[in-house]
Amino acid sequence: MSGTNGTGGTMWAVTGVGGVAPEPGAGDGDWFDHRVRLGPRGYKYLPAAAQYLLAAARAALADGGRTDAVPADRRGAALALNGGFAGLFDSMDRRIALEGGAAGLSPATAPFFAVSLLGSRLTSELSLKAFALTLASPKVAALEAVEAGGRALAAGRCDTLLVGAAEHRLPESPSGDGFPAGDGFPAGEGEQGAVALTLEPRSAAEARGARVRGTVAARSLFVPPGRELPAGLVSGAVRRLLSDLDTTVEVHHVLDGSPFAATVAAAVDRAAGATGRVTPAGAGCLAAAQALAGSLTGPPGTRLLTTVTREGHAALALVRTGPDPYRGPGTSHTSQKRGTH
Amino acid sequence: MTETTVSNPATGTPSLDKEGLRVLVAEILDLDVAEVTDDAHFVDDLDVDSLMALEITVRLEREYAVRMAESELVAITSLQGTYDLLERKLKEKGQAA
Repeated sequence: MSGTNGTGGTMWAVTGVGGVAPEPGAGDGDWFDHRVRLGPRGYKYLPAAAQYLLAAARAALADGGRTDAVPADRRGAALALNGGFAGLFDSMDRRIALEGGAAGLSPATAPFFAVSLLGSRLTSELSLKAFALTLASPKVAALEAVEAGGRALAAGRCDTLLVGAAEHRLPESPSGDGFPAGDGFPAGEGEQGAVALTLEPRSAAEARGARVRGTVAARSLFVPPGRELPAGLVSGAVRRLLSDLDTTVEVHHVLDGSPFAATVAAAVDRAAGATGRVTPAGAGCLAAAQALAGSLTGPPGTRLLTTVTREGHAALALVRTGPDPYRGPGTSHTSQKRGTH
Repeated sequence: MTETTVSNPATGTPSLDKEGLRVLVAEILDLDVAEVTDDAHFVDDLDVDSLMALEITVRLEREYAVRMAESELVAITSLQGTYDLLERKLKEKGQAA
């Protein structure tokens, strides 16, 4: 087991952080050349989101992540994607419906007919054979991937975990009318890029002398649309994450602008005793993933990241960077005893 | 994408040009055109696997408006073999028209 956050909730060590994203103002087609980023041949037919994910994962490994520190059947993957395959699905639908049926589908791209195929090349290339899970909950999928992957680590289903999130721009409207493709984001826009993290028990990372970027844990909540936010739901989740840590918590909300998101964010602020900074969510799950990566590579501190959507999803991630809060002087948490071994 | 076929206005049958076919095959296989020599073996020399062989077949059928029988696919092992097969298919198609 790794370090805990005081009530038995495990904080996982992050040993590698990687990401790819376009520079502001970069054109759609020229910011990512798969031949340069991935290799001269063999990646052409990968959907763009899968190309981004693979590049981000390689960057996470270059950053110090070592999925190969354990046998292939002990390496897991928890991935996240919302609309990143939408353009591909649209083109498949058009070909089937209007251009000769399924026989006309490209055999090389047809294998990517479902979001769960996002990581097919990634898991093959990195031999992540313990399990591969793809989450697609609106906007919270990346944090849910940390939560679900962490559960798998805790359950012993794997010894190392690659968490990844990827998105690609939303498809153009066939009529070119700019009609919103989803959640108010105009067709043809949306997030582009990917983030990847390598997680493992802190004890394992320390045993091999790895640099630990920070530790992370995540929890998710759901409230059906139209229902009141149950009293104590958010504060309970925050309390379980923060536990008895007595440090100042920096809060960051990635919100979609809905009343529900504002309500949950306010409840998080109250529970954490902080006023959170708010940044807008994107069309998919990438904004939260990038915020998480930013927290892990930022200055030392304790950060609580929240993502909430109008559909009733909420996810929280606790990130600690810098000196180990369970080992430093002045901390006397029970988690010291429950922690690394 | 590079256009590789031009319809014969008299018959409506796409015409075949070997250099155009070479460009198309190179594009499908993500190779430089120079690597697709007449006799380069798709499997042995160009690392074509079964999925890419299917991709070539589907694209050829679409570009040249022909249907390939499974028994004919054995000919698609090099550019020259593919060209010969397409030339025959298009000639048959033209005669049928």
